[in-house]
Amino acid sequence: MRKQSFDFLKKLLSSPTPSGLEVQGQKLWCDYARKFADKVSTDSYGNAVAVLNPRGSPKIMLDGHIDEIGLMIKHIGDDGFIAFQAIGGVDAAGLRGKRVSIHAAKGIVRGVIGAVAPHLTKGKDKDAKPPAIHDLTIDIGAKDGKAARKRVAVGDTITFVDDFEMLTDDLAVARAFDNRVGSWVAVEALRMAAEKRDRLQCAIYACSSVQEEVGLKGATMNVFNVRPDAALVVEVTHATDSPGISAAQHGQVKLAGGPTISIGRENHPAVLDKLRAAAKAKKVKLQTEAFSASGGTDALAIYSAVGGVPSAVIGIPTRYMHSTVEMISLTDLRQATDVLAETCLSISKGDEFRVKV
Amino acid sequence: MRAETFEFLRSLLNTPTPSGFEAPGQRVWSDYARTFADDVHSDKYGNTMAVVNPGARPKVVLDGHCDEIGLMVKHIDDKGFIYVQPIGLVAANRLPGMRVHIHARKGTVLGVVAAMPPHMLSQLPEDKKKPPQIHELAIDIGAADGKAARTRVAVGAPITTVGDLEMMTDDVVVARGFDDRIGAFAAVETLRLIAERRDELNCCVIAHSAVQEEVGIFGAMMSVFNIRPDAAIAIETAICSDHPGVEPAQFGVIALGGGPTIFIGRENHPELVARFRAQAKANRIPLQVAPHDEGHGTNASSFYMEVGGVPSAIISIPTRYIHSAIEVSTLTDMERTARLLAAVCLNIKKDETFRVKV
Amino acid sequence: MERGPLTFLKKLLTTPTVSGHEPPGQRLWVSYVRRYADEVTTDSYGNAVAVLKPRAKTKVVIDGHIDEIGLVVKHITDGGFIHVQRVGGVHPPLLQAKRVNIHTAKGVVRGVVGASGLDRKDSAKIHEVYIDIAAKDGKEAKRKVAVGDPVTLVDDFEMINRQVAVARAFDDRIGAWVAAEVIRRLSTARGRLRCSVIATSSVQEEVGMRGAMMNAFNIRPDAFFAVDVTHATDTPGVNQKQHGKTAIGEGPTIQLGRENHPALTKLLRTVARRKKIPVQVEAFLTSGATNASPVYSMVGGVPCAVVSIATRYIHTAVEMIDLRDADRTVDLLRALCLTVKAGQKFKVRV
Repeated sequence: MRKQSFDFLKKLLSSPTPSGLEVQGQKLWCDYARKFADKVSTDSYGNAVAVLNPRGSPKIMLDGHIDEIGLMIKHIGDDGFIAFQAIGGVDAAGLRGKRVSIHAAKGIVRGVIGAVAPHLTKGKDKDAKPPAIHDLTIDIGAKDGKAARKRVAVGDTITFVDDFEMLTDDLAVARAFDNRVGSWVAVEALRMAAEKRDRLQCAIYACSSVQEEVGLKGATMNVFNVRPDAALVVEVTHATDSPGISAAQHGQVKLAGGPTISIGRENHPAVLDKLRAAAKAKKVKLQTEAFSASGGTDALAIYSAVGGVPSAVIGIPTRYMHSTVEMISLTDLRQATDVLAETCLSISKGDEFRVKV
Repeated sequence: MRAETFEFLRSLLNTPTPSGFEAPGQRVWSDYARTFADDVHSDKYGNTMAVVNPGARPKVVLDGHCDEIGLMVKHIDDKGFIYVQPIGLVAANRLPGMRVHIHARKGTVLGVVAAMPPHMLSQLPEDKKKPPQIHELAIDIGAADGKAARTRVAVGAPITTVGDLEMMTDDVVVARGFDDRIGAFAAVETLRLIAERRDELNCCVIAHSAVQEEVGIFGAMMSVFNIRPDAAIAIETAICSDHPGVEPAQFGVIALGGGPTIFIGRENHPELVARFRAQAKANRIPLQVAPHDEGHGTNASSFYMEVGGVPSAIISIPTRYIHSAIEVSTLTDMERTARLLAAVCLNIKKDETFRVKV
Repeated sequence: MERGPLTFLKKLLTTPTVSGHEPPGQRLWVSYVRRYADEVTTDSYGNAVAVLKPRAKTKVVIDGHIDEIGLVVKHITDGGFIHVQRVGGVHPPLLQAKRVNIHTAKGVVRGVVGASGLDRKDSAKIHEVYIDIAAKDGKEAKRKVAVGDPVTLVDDFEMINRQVAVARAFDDRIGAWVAAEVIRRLSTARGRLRCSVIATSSVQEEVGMRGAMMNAFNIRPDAFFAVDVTHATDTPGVNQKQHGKTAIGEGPTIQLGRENHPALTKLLRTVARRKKIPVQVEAFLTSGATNASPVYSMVGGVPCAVVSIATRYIHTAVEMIDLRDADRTVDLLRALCLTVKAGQKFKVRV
């Protein structure tokens, strides 16, 4: 992988981008995009759109959401301990013992989500249910509520601190590959298409969408403003090759087995054909899944909007999604980018994407 | 019922159209519509429209969704058994023991949904006797192993249960997926009745056969943005409550053959509902009335709120056992619904608007 | 609270406005606001819109929903008893032993939700609840009421003390009241307004925020303030770690995060400080939604903020608010509208 691309990836993954407070990551994305795109703009809620070849046709939207799941301060107790709520699909069972950063008005305040020591829980009910989010608190080392309120406030956003590291020379671990990798792929595909500009006939609108984790909101705004003729959405997808996951229930997706495409619902047959052809041209082996029954992606918001936008989801296999130890393969990532760029370069002026009735 | 109309109904109902794979059914629908409509065309995802009197106002959409519920191949194991996910709201406990068609690239593959013999079932521990969930079902296509199976089917292939349209009496009819091919049928059949009386028509009528309703009302969302109708009527199946096991207190009374059903509240625009009532009375068509069913989403939800408020209403054809392989309805109610809607459309004045009177 | 606005509020609260059946309340709203607005219109589903300075470029919407939760007649038994279904989030066990009004085409029919010691259920489901109108049989009952007729509880408005009032469905007629009052109190300062202020009295919020979605598509606002009720958590048994800390009488509530646009929440807090209006702060709602929820992602993005009036016992017959909070909400929004500059846009700065 190109050094600048890798450095950008690492920086992006280490920046806090919880839904509703994505600016730090978005700024990095915009600065990077500005090097290759013809135009970069942002909208009222902080979505970013980078355009290449604006006069081209058809208009292809590449979407990846830049927001990550997080937490928000709900209540500061008089004892100085902080109650919180989830931003997006946070698993309460995984929270105990985590370090967090609270993004307060005056700067970052560090804290921990408490976990009662095992010595003290000995003898208690072994089958106790996992805690509910409102049973947990953050400890910032404040003496009491008054002291705590001097440093943080209700509504302050909270992120986890787990940053990027390589486990092997291909497999990487970080919090929230979901879905900063998607916004990374979108802008990287734009960069690769920019390098082969002479071949490019379509217009590429790479979108770094906000607030997906709380309801696909940024993509909903973007599709209305961009009005694309087709959309390719990059999102993490569950790798099902770690212990305890039933392939019968969740399908079979291997980490480092290649990017995935999905069949059915929002995944338009004509767009899938283009993706398959591009994968063949780049010698990339795609894995195939049934459409996501367990979760939505930005594609659900995009394909049904503005009269229908032929779309498809490209999945980056990820283990342990929505934990702080998400794991991906850099090869899968690079292949997804290659396929996306090649797809754009293979689209000709006047190409239409229709279901043949 | 006219022979050609009945043949169209049979052909439409017998064509597999699980959400996302509606094209074959849309073809049947288009071919029928083309014999009387001014224009027939489809959009990027296959929503199909047939128009009479384009350019006139108001623009009235009569909608039914062409997609049915089904299953999709999710995983093929090394023994050659196939695991599935639902397309739409599927009751898993109805499936063991059914025959299914897997619509693979090379053609239809016949399979069966594995069913534990009662002799074995009675010997299992209590917790294993529960009805299976969708992901616990296995489809057997008679393959020797996974390798053999994968030469015939692939992940992503759609699946429907086997079952064609059959008459039970000269009026009562059973089929798979009346929900909501019956609505798509009624929409285009209404258009045919209207086309016969074209000289009386003041508005533009668009029969719309929507895709992907069962997975989230997505097709209607696309079309309402493109068409921007002045009024939209969704023709659906009304869930009959007149069979054993259903409490009227909980579900109201909707009878098979009791007449088209209209609803009060939410998206059902009072002015359109009043038109249904008036034309039903004038044409002696029995109507059944129910409050809007919060648990049953229809295309009307998308029509009425997505582009600034489009006067909409739902009218439904009483059907028993919906979302099973044996949906039961009546030809009489299908015809009554088409007649009623034709009367409503023919009664609309040029440039008329539908407003709630504040 | 001033007499005129208080009278309007009382009238509004004692009018039935079940979702889908709002016209009686909407008529009151329109005739009140018509005296002060430049333009008043209604749309196909009965939303009402009142505008000050319609030609100004920046459009600021102040929204309250006029519909309330209620019931609707579902089935009349041969014995003359009436079964209902819910419209919005009604809690069935709380219906038992209450008096109701059935709003029929011919007028109001009074009934009671039966629950004798012999059949009362502590966790009744909606179909186990029935209304008794003392009809001889089903035939007589069907002459008086029809399937689809809306039903409300009869609990109406009263003051508990000089500041605190109790009523059925402050949710959200109080929001529609605030929207109308902002127009009234701004009408005298029209000369200083640099934006268009659009009060919307939305229908069908309780069944999915439908009216507001129609309005947003038609209006294309530059800012949208959803005025709604929020749970006061200052009563026994409420876990503040789970639900935050909000009290009646301590000012309007501002929410942070998600649909609440940072530029708008900042502006609200600045204006509140300047005008010395006490405000409370909450994290965005994790249960329930407001009209801002679907609106903010529509038509390319609409900057939204939820401004709420703390209310005890929401969705019961005894909703309770401090009227000063409603007045303060009007003052806050009125002052905010006057600070909006000509052509101003609200953007997250990246």
